[in-house]
Amino acid sequence: MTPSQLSTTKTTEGRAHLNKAGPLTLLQDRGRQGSQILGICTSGAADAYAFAWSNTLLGNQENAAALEISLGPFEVSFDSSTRIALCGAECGATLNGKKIIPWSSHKVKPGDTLRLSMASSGLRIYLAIAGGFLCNHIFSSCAQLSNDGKNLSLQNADQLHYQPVENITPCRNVHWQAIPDYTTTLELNLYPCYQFLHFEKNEILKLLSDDYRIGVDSNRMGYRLEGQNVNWHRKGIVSEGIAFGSVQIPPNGQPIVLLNDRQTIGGYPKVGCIAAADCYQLAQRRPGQKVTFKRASLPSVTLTEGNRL
Amino acid sequence: MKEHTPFALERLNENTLIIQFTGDDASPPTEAVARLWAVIDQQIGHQLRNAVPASCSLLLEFELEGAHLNQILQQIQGILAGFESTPQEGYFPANQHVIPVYYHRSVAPDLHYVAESHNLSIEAVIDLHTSTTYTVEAVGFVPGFAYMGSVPPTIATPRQATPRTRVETGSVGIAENQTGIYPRPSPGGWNIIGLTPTQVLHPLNQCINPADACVFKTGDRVQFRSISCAEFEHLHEESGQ
Repeated sequence: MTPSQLSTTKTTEGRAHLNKAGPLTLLQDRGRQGSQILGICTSGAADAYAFAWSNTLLGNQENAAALEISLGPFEVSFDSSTRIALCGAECGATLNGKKIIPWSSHKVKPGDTLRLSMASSGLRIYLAIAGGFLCNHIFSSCAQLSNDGKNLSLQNADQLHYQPVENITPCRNVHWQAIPDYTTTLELNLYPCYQFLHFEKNEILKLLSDDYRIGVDSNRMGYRLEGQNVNWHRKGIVSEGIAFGSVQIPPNGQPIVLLNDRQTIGGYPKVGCIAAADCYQLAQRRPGQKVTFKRASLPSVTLTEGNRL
Repeated sequence: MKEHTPFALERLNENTLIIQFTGDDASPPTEAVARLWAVIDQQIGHQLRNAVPASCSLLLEFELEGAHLNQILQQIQGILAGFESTPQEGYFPANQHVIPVYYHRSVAPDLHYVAESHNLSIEAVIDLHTSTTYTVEAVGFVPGFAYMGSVPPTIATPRQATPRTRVETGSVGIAENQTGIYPRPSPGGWNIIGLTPTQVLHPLNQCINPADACVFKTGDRVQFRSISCAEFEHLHEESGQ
């Protein structure tokens, strides 16, 4: 991707130079609209909670484009003044070599350099900028798309554009009680749906009683969990649309929680869906960390005959 | 009057619903799914974030959560209640496509294998593949890949045991009882029996409306037409691929 694809340059625009782009850095917002009908994933910030806070701290619109930086290390220099906010994984951030507080907004002067180390807890860091990064939109989203439908990762020496602000707004931070701890065992609230009732009770009980460990092949598409096998005793299902947080059971019986970059349709049975808030937390967990499942109910809405017509 | 409701509505998570249609393997209710999707899109499309019509189901993801969902659910229940009385035919006409295909071993590495494994001549495979009108049952797997059913049982062929690492753009393949066209080069295990010069997926970064990016949508009808090498080259040049 060339910088010109990211935005049309005007001389009044500020530029952020990615000196070190890191292993996977994506422009993200709340995701694409209507693209699933083509077989293209929604994409969007994997941890929508930390993403939302990063924009809120700056008074940005809720869908403003921010960077999702996975793991780090990462380094960016700004050539114009602005404000930035960092939320998500703990990554020992420094601005011109001085440590800055996570989950807060900061003033940036021309020439300032932000450095992030390798994340020490959590996986994804959200870097928002006042007004959002300027970029082209595809299907109402800033998430950059290759011709084969994959997200485009930013590279070393890429430049991002923004509208400079000379601001007097004080820096803000998120109340400590609202900052998640990504080191704890995560409890995943499971809404029973899809093929839930077609699994044998025993298999569901295994899922709900065992600890599962996050597998190394976990990514923005899905989190692979390792633990007791959940078995499916029926024949294959007809392929159907896959909701955010669906818990898919492939033939090896090891559950996969499907996230933002999931395929749009699939033919494996699904035991239910994980609450969105838990999916955001899951996306901050690392391979080897533990999760448990808990049966949950959706917030009540009026539906006849217990969720079925 | 039908004795049972032909669909079930289920809530999946905070902002997603799925409507399941009853049907059997022999005749998936794809056209009813496509028709319902057209009605829903027309009436409440602006409140939708995503929709995935597949052969027997329609997944709907909404922008809104919580209190607003009650209102949307009521609207959908209203649409479903009136759905059986909407005209079955012609009200939301599916698009009809005729897709030219060059069936030749130089561009179709599995044409001979499909013929041999069914004890058929190449001509018979081409005749069978072109004599059927297919329904687009779902779009997915890779952007713009349309799953079309059903191929005649006499040429239905299992996926290859080892998928190819690269299948060329425009390759026409068979897997089990479905046929489809690769919109972009991609890995894949379908048995390739031909090549079409038709561009089925437009460049994604030039599309404003996602629905316009792909030639096919769920419920569309597709017929294949056998063309010569010369015609392939002519059409290929015209399409500018």
